[in-house]
Amino acid sequence: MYRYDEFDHVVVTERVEQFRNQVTRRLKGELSTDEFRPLRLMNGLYAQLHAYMLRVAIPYGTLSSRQVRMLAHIARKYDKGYGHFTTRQNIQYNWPKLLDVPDILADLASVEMHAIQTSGNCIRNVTSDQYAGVSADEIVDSRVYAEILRQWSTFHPEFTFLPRKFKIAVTAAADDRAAVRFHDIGVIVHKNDKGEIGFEVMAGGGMGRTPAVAPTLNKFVPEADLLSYCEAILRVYNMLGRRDNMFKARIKILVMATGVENFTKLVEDEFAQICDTALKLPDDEIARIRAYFAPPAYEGLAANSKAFDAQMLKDKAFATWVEINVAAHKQAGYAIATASLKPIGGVPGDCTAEQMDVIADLTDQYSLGEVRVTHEQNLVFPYVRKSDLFALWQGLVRLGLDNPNLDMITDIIACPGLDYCGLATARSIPVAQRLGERFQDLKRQRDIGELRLNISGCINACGHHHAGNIGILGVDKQNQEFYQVTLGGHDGADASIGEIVGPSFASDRIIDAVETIVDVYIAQRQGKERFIDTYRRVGVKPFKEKLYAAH
Amino acid sequence: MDGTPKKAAAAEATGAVELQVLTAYRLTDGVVIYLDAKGGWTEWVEEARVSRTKDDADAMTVLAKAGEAAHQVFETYLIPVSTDGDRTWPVSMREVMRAQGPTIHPQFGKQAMRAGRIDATAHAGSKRTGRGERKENREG
Repeated sequence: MYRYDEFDHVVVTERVEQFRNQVTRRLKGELSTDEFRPLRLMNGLYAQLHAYMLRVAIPYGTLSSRQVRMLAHIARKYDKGYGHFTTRQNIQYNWPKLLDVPDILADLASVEMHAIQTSGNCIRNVTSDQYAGVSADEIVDSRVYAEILRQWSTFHPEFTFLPRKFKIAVTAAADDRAAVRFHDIGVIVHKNDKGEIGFEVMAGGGMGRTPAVAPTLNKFVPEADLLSYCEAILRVYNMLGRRDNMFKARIKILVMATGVENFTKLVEDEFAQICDTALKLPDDEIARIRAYFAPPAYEGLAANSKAFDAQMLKDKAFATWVEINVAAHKQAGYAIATASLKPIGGVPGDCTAEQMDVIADLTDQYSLGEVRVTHEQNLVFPYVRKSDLFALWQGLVRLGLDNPNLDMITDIIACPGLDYCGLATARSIPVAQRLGERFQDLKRQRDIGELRLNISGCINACGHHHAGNIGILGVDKQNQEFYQVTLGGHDGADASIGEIVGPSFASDRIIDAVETIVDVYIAQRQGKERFIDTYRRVGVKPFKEKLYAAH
Repeated sequence: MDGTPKKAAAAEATGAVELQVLTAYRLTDGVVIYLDAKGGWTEWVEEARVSRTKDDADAMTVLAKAGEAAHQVFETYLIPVSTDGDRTWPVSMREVMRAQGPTIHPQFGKQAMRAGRIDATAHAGSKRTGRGERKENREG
């Protein structure tokens, strides 16, 4: 697991005291609103619709049980008893008081956590595959490289005031679970014929008002050159990225305007200048970081567990949950289990302090003390003995986090929307709740199969609607909530951006519209085709015809 | 973005001035507040001072800036309100949300502090946009 070293300890502790001093000066009137804004944002403190909001970093989504207990403590002591897990594998608190924030940050520092790189025009918290280190389909543990990038990017003096925020994601698995192609920089770890590790590096992906799938700049950057290559990309962006118009300031706009070929040349030229500098990663440094993520002390278990097999036969609900929410582990006798934070009618990503405490206990009992946050706003127990799955599941049943809906239509990503967000134009969460209720029948969900539905409450697309097989975007039409629908988005290895299906739907029609889309898919699909495959085969036309038939 | 300048220009041309209150956030805890008739701040939009003329709105803005300068409040701006049934209430969905709290959590926010004032449908009934003169919050 990630180890917080002496350097991190000093940096974070000093940072807390700096911010405490800044808050004191703000309250005394020594810092104005405008002077204080960038300081609080650099510490993850936003001003949102109802109150301040504190976003806490969870590097590549990995948490220890001790950290989860602290997150629960903060929710209970300083907030309103809950937190919200986000699409960047972070957690945010919706009601902190400015006066309390220095104490919250001090409490976080006591468990090696902070709110650095969760806001501002810097390189944000690096995200990764939630199954890193445990999945059967990966080359190496991608968190090794995510951590190397984190150490390089934290307080990088040259990249503290970029034209706009900058997001990096890393995966090393065949199945891209980190949506790397929708990031400013996406990194896919490969091995070449000689068995050497290298990186496919892409740049210029993103959501927002101008969605883009990142083109590949280099198919195989040698392992030692990861930082030099990323630094070259950041340098070109920092130099040429637009600062005159914040809507055109992300790197994707620069890549589009420059052209992929020209942009790649600029990066390669810069890379040639810096590839043999101190940024070159020495083997022993990579080995040192790799040791942080050494596999835990697995027990030598048989691949199959008789107790587990018996429970599967005995309890149908458990068997269903295993079939849907449990993934294959690389270690014999172990499994990867996902707890859905999307209970029927619940708020996607919300977790109460009481739930967090029990999750911490379950993590200690059944997952070697570690749990992970996914960009789909769920929680993963990465090291569960098959023979413990039943007990873990029973624990989740008691918490109401046992919904077997992973990657199905009710496993919805939703941004906070107008219920919380200062930027939103419509609500997202109530739509997710209504869809959860409409499609709650498990038999029907399983018949529909894999279908990603994402909802954003404004064009900034924090709910990843562009990448949803069905995407829903809330808009304000003369003070009424309307919802625009996109189809065909996908965030896997073959990423695509959803296409707008037609005029938007009033709030009271959007749920029926989704139902119509699902009906068209069922009628059109061939064999076991997933929604996305059917859509790619038949296109938007049959959906459009049915949705707007009455008009 | 929301057509406010155009609307304001049209209102000026006809001499019509919309009813407005001045809102802000309290510095210490970030709570949504409104300028009241005594020159202080209230958590309740119903108790806010309502401007009926441009001069009145300008005077309120001066008081708001003084509040900012005194480091009591931040992000001050005027919002349109209606006074139907003698109750001052925001016009836009966004401001209704600020005045009452998140619709998904009726146990939190202002709606939880004063019973009987929840107006979940208020934002759905109006035909006006009226997002106020708030500077766009770009902290996404």
